[in-house]
Amino acid sequence: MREVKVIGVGMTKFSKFLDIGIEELGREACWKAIKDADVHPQDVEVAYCGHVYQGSCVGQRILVELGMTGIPITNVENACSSGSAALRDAYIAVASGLYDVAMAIGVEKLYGRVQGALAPDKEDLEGDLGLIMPALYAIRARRHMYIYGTTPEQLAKISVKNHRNGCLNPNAQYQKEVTVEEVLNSRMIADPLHLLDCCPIGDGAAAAILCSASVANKYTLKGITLAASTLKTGTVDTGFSDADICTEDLTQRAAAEAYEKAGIGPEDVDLAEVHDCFTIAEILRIENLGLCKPGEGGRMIDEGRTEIGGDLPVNASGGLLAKGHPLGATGIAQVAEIIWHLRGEAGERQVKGSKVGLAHCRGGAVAGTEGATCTVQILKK
Amino acid sequence: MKNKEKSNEKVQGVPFRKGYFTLGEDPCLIGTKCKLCNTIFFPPRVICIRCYKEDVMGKIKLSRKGKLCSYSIVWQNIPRYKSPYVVAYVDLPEGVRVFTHLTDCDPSDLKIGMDVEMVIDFLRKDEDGNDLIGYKFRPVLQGI
Repeated sequence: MREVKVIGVGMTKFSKFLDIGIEELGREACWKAIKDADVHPQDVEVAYCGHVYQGSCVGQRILVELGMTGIPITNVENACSSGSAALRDAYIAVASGLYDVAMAIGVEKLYGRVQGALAPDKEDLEGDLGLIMPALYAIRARRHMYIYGTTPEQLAKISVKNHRNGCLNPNAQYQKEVTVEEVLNSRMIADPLHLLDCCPIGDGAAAAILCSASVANKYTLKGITLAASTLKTGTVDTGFSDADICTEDLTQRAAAEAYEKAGIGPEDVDLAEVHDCFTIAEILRIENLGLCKPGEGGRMIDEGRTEIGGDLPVNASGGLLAKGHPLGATGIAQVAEIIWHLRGEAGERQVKGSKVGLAHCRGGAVAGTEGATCTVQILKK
Repeated sequence: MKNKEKSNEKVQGVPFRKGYFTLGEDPCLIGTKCKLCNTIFFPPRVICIRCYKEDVMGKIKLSRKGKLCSYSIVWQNIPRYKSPYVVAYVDLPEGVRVFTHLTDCDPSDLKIGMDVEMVIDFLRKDEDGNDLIGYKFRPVLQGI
């Protein structure tokens, strides 16, 4: 397998866009990535478009705006990991030697499409029984509190941190700080998770250009190596009572393969963008990615270790909580964020001297499993 | 969430899934047990996903009582269920973990690890307005 570099990234602001359609959002992100990579649109040989709810052939509907149809385009759905799964497909396309230059797009318009809360498909047993994603995580939050003594205040501090980081990110949906009191007083969604413990509904797009390291310098010297891109799916374990619902086997497996492929361990990660769809999710992820020990997630936020200035910055972008979570766009936006830090282009939220970044996405729910999908990308300067 | 105590036999409606639970006064969940590896699954399975074989599953009635693994009170309004409602994982002695609703309880009395028992209850209406019934769990009444 060949070495693959990410040579260009781009994203739109994430927000609720009443009057901007998905094709326009996608076009904006793709054009930014193409300009960033300094490629000609006709150099892109294959494209993958991650999304969940945007309907048939959305990748083609976007790329026709750029004169980039004609090439193989595949649309990818993997719940909240759709964008990162599309990125992985682009990675495989190049690493395998089949193509030199590939594009990954991630797009979503949720505003006006999703009412109430995201939930599994209603044919899924748990979806049929009224499981909504906030409740799935709330159940785990309560268990985490029971086993480790994690508190609602510690969860709230994660929302505070990520909202503060969002203020430094011009693309973030929310650029306003919140306090612990405001989080704890916000409307209860699924006990113990309040509104400000949950990521918002929103729209947006992101794109990345990948190419073989052997030709990257033809376009730009800013290429960053995509050292690993893994995808795993959940096995039937929540169906059994001996499973620990705070152990994310899915995340652990995706991470283990990524660390091995990249030749690093969790201690080598300089910054991480993890799937903080809910505050408890950030704790579960840093524990299960091996970035801290099980049960230590609460202490990490108490001690400020996951702040931008801390020893393990997590979600410098504002995370899903403040940057937003247009489902298909998220995985690629996380990678864009890490690329900016590794290049030294992250502005006021720059994690200084960062050389290794990790992006983690976790998506979907399938009854009896602890989750549908998980992706881990590792980028190295 | 706190309903009047009512007999399981009095709950009328269409089971929301066929073959997942029995009706009557002492209802229980129906799982499947693999004859080869003895693993018990709920909901019922056709293929044993440990042995990767078909034609090895037999139906098994599961225990009515279990332990509360964790829960959450859902306040968000969603189209098909009336909030607030309580969702939970319940662990049964056969080694299965069931996603379910809790009923007949005051949420402030709920404790992880408490004993709960299965009941049949109204779940929601289907698209044609028929009552759908399903399994829920409630705290085991103490002192009885």
